[in-house]
Amino acid sequence: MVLGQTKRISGTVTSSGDGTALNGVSIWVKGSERGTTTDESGVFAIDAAKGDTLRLTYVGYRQQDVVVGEANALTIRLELSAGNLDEVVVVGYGTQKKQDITGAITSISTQALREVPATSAPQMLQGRAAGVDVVHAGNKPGAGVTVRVRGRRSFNAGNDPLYVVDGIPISGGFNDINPDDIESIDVLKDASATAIYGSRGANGVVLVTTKRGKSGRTNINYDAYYGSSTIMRYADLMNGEEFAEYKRESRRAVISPVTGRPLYDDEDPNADVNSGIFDAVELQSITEGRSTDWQRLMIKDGSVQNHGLSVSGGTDHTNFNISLGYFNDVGILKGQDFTRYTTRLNVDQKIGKRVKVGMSTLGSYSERNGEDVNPYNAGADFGTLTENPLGIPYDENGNIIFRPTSDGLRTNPLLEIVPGAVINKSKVVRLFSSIYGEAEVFDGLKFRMNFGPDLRQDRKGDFRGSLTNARQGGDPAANNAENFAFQYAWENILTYQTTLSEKHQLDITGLYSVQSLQQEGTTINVLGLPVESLEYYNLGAASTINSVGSDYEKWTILSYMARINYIFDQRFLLTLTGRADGSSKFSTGNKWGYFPSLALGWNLKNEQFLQESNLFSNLKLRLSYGETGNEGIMPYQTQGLVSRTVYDFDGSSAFGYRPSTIRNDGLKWETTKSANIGLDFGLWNNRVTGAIEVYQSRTTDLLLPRVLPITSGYNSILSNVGVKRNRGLEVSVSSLNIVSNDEQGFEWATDLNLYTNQEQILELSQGKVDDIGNLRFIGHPAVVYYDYVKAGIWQLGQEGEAEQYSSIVGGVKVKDVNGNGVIDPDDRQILGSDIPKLSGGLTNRFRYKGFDLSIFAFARLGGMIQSTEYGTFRFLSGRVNQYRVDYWTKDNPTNAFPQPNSNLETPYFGSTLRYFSGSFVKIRNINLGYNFSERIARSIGAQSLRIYLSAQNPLVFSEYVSKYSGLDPENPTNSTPPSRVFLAGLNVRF
Amino acid sequence: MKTVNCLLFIVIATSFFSCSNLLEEDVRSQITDNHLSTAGGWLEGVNASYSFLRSFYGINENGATVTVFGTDEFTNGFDGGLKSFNFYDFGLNPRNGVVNTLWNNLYVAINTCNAVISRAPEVTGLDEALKETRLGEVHFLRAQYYFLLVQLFGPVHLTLEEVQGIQTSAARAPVEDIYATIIEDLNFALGRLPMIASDYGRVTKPATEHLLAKVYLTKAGSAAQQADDYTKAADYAKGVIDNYSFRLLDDFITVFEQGEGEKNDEVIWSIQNSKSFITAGQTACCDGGNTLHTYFLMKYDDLPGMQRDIENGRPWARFRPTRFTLEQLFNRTLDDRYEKSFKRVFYANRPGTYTINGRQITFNTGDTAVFVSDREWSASELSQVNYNVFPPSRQNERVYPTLTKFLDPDRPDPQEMRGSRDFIVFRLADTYLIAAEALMSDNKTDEAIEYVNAVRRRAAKKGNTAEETLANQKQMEVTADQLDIDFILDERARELLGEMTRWFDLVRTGKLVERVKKYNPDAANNIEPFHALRPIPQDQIDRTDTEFPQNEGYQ
Repeated sequence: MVLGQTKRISGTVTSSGDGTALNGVSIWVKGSERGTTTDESGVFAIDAAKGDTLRLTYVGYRQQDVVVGEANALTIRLELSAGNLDEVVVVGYGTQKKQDITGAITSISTQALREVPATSAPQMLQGRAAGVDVVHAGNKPGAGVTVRVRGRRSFNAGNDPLYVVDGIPISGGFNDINPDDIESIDVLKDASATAIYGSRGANGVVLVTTKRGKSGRTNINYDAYYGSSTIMRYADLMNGEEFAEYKRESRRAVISPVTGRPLYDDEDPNADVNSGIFDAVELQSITEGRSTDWQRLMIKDGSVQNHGLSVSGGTDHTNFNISLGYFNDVGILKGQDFTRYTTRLNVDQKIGKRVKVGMSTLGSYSERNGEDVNPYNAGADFGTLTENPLGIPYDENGNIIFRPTSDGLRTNPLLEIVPGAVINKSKVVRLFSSIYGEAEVFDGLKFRMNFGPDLRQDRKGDFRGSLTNARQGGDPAANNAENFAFQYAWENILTYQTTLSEKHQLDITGLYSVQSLQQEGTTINVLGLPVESLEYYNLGAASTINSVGSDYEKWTILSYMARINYIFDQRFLLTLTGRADGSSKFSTGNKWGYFPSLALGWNLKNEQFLQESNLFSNLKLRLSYGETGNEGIMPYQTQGLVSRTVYDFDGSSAFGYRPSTIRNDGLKWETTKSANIGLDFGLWNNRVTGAIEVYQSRTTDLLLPRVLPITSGYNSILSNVGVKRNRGLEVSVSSLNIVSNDEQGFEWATDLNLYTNQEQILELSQGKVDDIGNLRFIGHPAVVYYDYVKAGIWQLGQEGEAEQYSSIVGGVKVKDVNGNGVIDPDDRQILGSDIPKLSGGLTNRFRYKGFDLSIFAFARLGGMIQSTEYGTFRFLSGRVNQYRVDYWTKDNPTNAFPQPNSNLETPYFGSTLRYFSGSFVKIRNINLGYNFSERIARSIGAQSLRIYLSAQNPLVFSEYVSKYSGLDPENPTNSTPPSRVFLAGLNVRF
Repeated sequence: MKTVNCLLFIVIATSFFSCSNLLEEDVRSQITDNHLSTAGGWLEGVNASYSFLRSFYGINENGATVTVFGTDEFTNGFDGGLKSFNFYDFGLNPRNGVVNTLWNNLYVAINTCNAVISRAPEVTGLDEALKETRLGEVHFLRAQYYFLLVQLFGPVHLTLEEVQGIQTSAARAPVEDIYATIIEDLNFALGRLPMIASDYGRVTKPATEHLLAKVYLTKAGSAAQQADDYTKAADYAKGVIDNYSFRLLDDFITVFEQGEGEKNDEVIWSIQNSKSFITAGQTACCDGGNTLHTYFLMKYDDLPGMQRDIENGRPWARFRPTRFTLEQLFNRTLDDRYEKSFKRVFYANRPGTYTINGRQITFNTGDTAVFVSDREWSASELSQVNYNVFPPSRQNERVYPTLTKFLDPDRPDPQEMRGSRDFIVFRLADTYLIAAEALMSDNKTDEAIEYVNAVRRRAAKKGNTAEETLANQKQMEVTADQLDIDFILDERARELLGEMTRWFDLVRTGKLVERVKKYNPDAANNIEPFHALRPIPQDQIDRTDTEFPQNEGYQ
C-alpha cells in the first residue's frame, strides 16, 4: 500500500441540530488503526493523508465519512439520527436507551419540533406522533389545543394527558412554556409506560424536557421570526341583492290569513315597498344596489412575531442555560391578540464526583385580549356573519350607526371593536420550578429528590360599554375574576443499576411522591358604572352588584412506585411496575388505587438468525399489559353537600341551603386496563425505521353521574358506573429516501404516521341501556350526532305527505325510519361521530447544499362535524344573513336546503342541515431554509446562521370548505376565522 | 460522604413519613349537609324551601307555559320553542324539557321541605315558638308543591321523609292520598302560622286558608272528591274575606303597581323578588328574578319608529291573547279591565322617516308609532293618521295587544331578564271568585252572586261623576240566573287574565277540552281529554326500578 504523506489534521465536530460541540465523537482513519475522540469542546486532532477517509461515529448521530483534502482544519457537522438505537428516550423517572424500551413511547425529535414555528408547546405535537390527536380549540390568538392520546376514555374525569415538565407533573397551563425552550417531547402511550404515573397516566403522559447547558464553549443563540397573517377565506355570504331576494322568498312562503295572498306578492309591481318587509335603509340599498360587506370591515391583517435569546454553556462542574422569549400574535380580528414573555434559567452543578444539584425555573407572563368575545360569530341576534348586508355601518358623518337596520335585536358589530368598548383581557403570571438533588450513594445506586413548586396567578377583567351588543345602550357592566393556584410535587427516587455476569442488566427504581394543588378564586360582577373610562378598575363605583363569589379547592395525591427493568443478553426485556396512589378526592377506604403493569420485549435483531440479515437492522417485538387510574374529578364529590339558594322577603335577603349532593362513600378510582403489542423495525441499515402498535384499552368504574329518579330529591350521583373500550392501530414510518454521503448532496427524508382509534361505550349507569338524554349510546363513541335523517326537500305536489310527516312543501323531508307514518323522536338516528376514522401526519424534508425544505401535512379523515354556522337560530328565516346556500323555491326544486320562511325561526327539522363530513387535509406548514456557510457566518462573527421562510396553513383540502364554504373543519363552531401566516425567520448562533 | 448520609436520612425519614392526614379532604368553599341540623342552617333550610316558588312562578317561562298556553285565554305568539303546549301536538311528550324541569324542581323542593321537617327534632338552640312557626311555613310550602304536582300530573310519588342514600324506587300514590297529605300539612300550618308574617312574603294563616279553599275546590273536581268539599272551600274563602283586613282595591290595575305599591291590601301572598341581583340569582337569563315581563310582550322592536328599550321591554312574544279574549270576553264599554289589561300603543323611540302602508311617515321621539286597534279601519281613516295601525285583520303572532300586568320598565338595561316584580299568587279577587264558584257548585247561587258582583262592581269603569260610576257598577252586576260555571270562568278570565291559574281552572271545572276547542283555534284540532294531565317525564319512568306508569295518552 502506498501511503500518501500524512499530515496533522485538526478540527471541530458539532451537532447539526443546535450546533453545540460534541464531546467524545470517535474518529478513525478508514483502513488504519489510527483513531481518536473529540474533547469537551468538540476538538480533535489526527494524522491522515490526503485522500484518506475519516469515519466519524457518535451515539445518536449518523455515521459520516469525510475525505481528507487540502485543508488541515476541518469543521464537521454530524446529523442527528432518527432511528439510532442508542438514542436516549425519557421514560419517566429516568431515561432509557431506545433499544431497551418495552413500552409504546413516541419521541418527537428536536428537529421535528423546530420545523414548524410553533405558537405554543402543545401545538408542536400536532401530526407528529401516531395516536396523539391534537386539535386546535379555536383560531383566536392564544387559543389552546385539545390533546387526546389514544382517544377518550372518560366522561367526567377528564381526558387530558398528564404533562410532566423536567420531571415534575403539572396541571394546566402547558401553554405557558416557550416552545423555544423545549429540547424534546416524549409521549408515553401504553399502560406499561404510563403505569409509573399510575394515578394520572390513564390518558397518556407527555414528557417535556427543556434545554440544558452543555460543557464547553458558551453559545449565544438568537432565534426570531416575523410574519403577517391574513384571513384564509371569507365566508361565502349573500350580498345585498341576494339577501333581498332571499328575504322576499321568505315572505312568498307565507300566505297572509287576511288577504289570502303571500306576504310578498309578486303580482304587486311595487311589492318591495308595499309589502312592508323592507325598512327605509334596506329599500335605499336595494334601489342603489348598495351592499355592505361586514366581513371585510371587521377583518384586518394580523401579525405574528417571536424572539428568543438564549445563552448556554458550562464547565466540568457547572452547566447553565438562560433564555428570554417574546411572542406576540395579533389576530386578524381587531381586539384579539396574545403576548407572552418568558424567562428560563436551567443550572446543573456537580458537587464532587457523586452529587449533582440543579434547577430549572420558568417565568412566564402573558396577556390575552378577546378570549371571550367574538363579534364575528354567526349569532341569531348579533354577529358579523349574520349581519344584514342591506344595512349600513356608518352615517353621513362617518359615525358608527348603533343599529344598521330597523331590526331591534341587531347592533352594529363594528361597535364591538371600537377601542375601549369591549375589553376582555386576561393576564397570567406563572413561576414554575423543578429543583433536584442527586447522589450516587455507591456505584449503581442513586438517590434523587425533585421538588417542583408551581405558582400561577390568573386575572381576567371584562368590560362592556353602553354601546355594545351586550349592553344594548344600558349601563356599562364589568367583571373581575382572579384565581391563584399553588401546586407542588415532591418526589424521592431511588435507582439501582447493575449488570450481572455481563448478561443480566438490572435497573430498579423506587419512588415516593406527594403532589398537591390548592387554588383560590374570586369573582365580582357589576352593572352600572358611572363612567366608561373606569373599565373594570373601580367596581365599587357601580350602581348594582350582580354577583360576588369566591372559592377554594385543594386536593392531594400520595404515591409509591417501584419499577424493575431487566434485560437478558440484550435480547429479552422485562419491565415490571407497581404503583399505589392515594387521592384525597375519594372517601376513606377507597382512597388508594393499585396499578400494576408488565411489559416484555424481544430484540429479535440480536438473535443469531437475524445477525447476518441485511434487510433488518432492527427488529423488536413488545407486549405490554397494565392498569392505570384516573381521578380527574372535582374534589369534594364524596361529601354530602348543600347548595345555596336565593330568595328575599320584601327586599331583605333570605339566602338558604338545600341538600344538593348525596354522600357517596363508595366513590373510587376510574381504572383503565390496556394491552399493547408493538413492533419496532429498522430496514436496510435503518434507511427505513418505524413502529406498528396495536392496542386495546378497557376503562371500568367510569366516573359518571348515575342518574336517579328525581323523586328521590336528587337527579344523579357521581358513581363508578359504565365501561368504555378503545381500540386502535398506529403506524409510524421514517424513511431516508435519498441520502448523500456528501454534506452538500441532495437528501430527501419522509416521516409518516397514521393512526386510528375506535371508541365504544360498553355500559352506562343503567347497564347496557342507551342514555338518550345525554346522547350516549351503547356500542358507540362518547360523542355522536343523533338526529333525524334528512332525505331531501318536499316538492310541489307532495303537500299531503309533507303535512303527514310534520313538514311543508319546500321544507326538509326526513326519513320515517320506523315506518309508522309519523315523524316522532324514535326516528332519530346516530348519524356519525366526531372521531375520525384515520388521522395522520406526513412530513417531507429535502436538503440540498445549504437549503432545506420541509412540508408538513396533517389529516383527519372520516369524522363528522356539526357546523354552528348552519345550525344558527333564524337560519333561512329571512331575517339574518347566512351562507349563500342553494335554497328551494318554486322555480328551484332543489333537495339541498329548504325554502326560506319568515314564519319559521328555524326550518322544520333545520337541525338536520348542520352535519358535514369533518375530513380534511391541511398543509400545516411549508418551510424553506438556508444555512449560510461557515465562512459567511464567521464574517458576521457568528458560528452559524440560518434564515428561513415559512408558510403556515397555506392550504386546506376539505369538502366542508370547498363545497359548503365552511370556515374551518377543524373548528366548526363559528369562532374567529382561520388565518394564513407567511413569515421569515432567523437562527443565529454566536 | 456527609452529603450521602444526609440524603440517606431523608430517604428513611420519607418512608416513615405519615401521610394519612394528607389525604383528608379540606372542605372550605363548600358546606356539608350537617349544616341543616344546626340552628342557623335549619332556618336557612326554611329559606331554601321558599326559593323553589320562584322556579315555578316566573324565574323562567316553564311555569307560565303550562298554565297560560293551550287555554281559551292565550294562544302562541311568534317566538319560542314551547308552542307544543299550545298546540297539544307531538312535542308535548314525556321527553319534553319543560315537564321534566318542572317535575324535577318540585321534587327537589319537596326533598328540601322534607329535610327541614325531618331534622327539626334534632335542632337545638332555637326559640320554640319561632321553630313552630317556621315548621308551619314549611308544611304549607310542601302542600303547595304537592298541590302543583297533583294538578299537573295526577297521581304522583308521595314522600314525606328526607331521602338518605341512593333511592331508585318510586310509586304513584292515588290522588286521594296526595290530597289527604296536602290537607294534613295545611291543617298543621293553620295551627302555627300568624295572621301577619314577621317578614313580608312569608306565608300566613290567611294564605293557608286561601290555599285550603283552592285545594278543596280543586279536590271537588277530582277523583278524590268528597261531599263537603265545596262547603269547606266556601268556608275557608269566606273566612279570608271576612276575618282579615284585606280588601279589593278601588282600581283593578293598582293591584299590579310596581315598587312599594305591589304590597297592597288585596295581596294575600306573593312570591318575592327584589331589585338586588344578589338575591335574584346569578345569571342574566332564566335563572333569577321575575322574567314574566318578556313573555306577553308583542314584537314591537322591529316595527318602524321603534327599537328595544327598557321602558317598553324585551319582547319574547310567547303568549298572545286569543280572539275570544280580545273580542268576546269583555264588555268594553263598561268593564275597566279591558283597557287596563292591555297595552296597545307604542311611542316612537327611534326617530326617522319610514314607509308605512306605502306612505312616508316621519316619527319624532314620543310620537305614536304603533297602535294595535280593536276594530277595522277604512282606507280613508288610515290615510289620516301618521302612525302604524294594526286593526284585527293585520294582527298576527308578532303584533297583538300586550298584557300589562307583568311589564317591568324598572330593570337596569333592555336585555336584563331579571325583573323585580313580586308575583302575586293569592289575591283577594281570586278568593271572592273561589267563594262564588264553591257556593254556586254547592247550589247556593244566591250567596255566590254576591261574591261575583263584588269583583264586577270594582271592575266597572269610572264615570265622570259618582252617579255615573254607581250606574256603571250597577250595570256590571249580574243576577243569579246568569250565573253558571262558564260565567264564573269568564269572570276569572277577565279578572285573573294571565295570572298562571287558567289551565288549572279549566281542568278543575272539566271545561278544558270544550273551551279550548271553542276559543283557541291553534289548539282546537289536537286537544283531547287526556290532555288534562301532563306527561310524566320519561326520565322518571326510565330511572325508576319499580313500575312507574305513564299518564294515559302519552308515549
